[in-house]
Amino acid sequence: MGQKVNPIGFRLGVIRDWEAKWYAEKDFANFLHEDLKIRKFIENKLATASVSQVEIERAANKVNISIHTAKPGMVIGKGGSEVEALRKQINALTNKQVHINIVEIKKPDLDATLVGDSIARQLEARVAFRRAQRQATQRSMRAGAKGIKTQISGRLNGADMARKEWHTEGTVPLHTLRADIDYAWVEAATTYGQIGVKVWVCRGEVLPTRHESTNNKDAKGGN
Amino acid sequence: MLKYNFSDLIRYENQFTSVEQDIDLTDVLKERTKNMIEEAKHVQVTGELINDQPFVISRLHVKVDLVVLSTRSLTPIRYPLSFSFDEAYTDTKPREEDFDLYGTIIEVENDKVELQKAIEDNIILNLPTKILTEEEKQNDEMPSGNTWQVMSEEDYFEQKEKTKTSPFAKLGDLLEDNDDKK
Repeated sequence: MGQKVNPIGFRLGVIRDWEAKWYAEKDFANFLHEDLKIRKFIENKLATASVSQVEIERAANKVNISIHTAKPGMVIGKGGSEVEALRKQINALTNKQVHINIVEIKKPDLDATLVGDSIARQLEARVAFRRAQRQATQRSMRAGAKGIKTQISGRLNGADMARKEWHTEGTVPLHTLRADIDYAWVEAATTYGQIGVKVWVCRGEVLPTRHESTNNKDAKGGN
Repeated sequence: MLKYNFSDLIRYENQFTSVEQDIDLTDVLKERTKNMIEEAKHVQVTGELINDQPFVISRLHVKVDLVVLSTRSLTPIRYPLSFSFDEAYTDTKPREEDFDLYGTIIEVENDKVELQKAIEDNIILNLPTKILTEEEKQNDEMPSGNTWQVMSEEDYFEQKEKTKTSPFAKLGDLLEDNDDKK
């Protein structure tokens, strides 16, 4: 089988941005481990809140955390009680001043993590995998995706032997760098064991913007 | 309830079984969706089961008034849902081309066609990821606190664009100054 590169890493710095935005000379390792701790903590704490991405920015003794989610209500809780508690816990974890932004995702059906998470939660709710897989692809295509591929692997429908089943619609050109492909791998914990869900969503192409330089007209000299 | 024997459904050629039932799925859906669905009383199911050997085709229409929670504020909302779905059931292993023809194919176990499970599954699958109250849809007002705030993707990217500073910005000023001096 061919070796496959992670579509997100492949596009990083080309059409995708980093999820951590800070620079450090001395404390790089400490900050990196702190980031990992924060991410792990949020992943566990907000496991049911459909969190797609956690962006971390740092400035002096401040940490800005942006949580991208389809369900902000689950993150903030009733009257903001949950998010206040979350902030205090991250404060204690890092000993730094923490500010939390919760970003509501406009089209959750075009986000690979959320599509994968939704399939995984449906598998945990004992929905037949074929139904879950088909519905997810149809929804994404209806939401405007150019293509989607989903792959579910494990003991499907409780079968004795684990296997893989995949379903594709539209085009998912993994080798085209300008193709905006979102990828996610999510796990569903079922009574028969873990089931892996992989999702690739092609949201179209990101074309390079032409820098309409003002110096074209105003440039002096040249040639 | 809503359980049929596959062998009975496939016994006669052109066999047709009509389905019409009103069921309460509140408890089952509450348990399966971890309280995302608060109420699912009076689920009206109409449709038919058609023998198309070696498959049994179900063509069902489901109408239900759900009570679900808003994804932005967790306020309970009445959410009417009305949808149709077609599925095929078989006791043999389906071929690859059958999936193109029938879409969803379910392999039956122990000779049982469980329509209630199919209805529950399809209600869960037809729930949108994002549910807002009428007020939230119109106002677009986001909750916020002292050290946190909820924002839309547009606002977030706009804010990011504003605060974006190029590492070469200072260099530009330097060159401008030099030009002026000349």
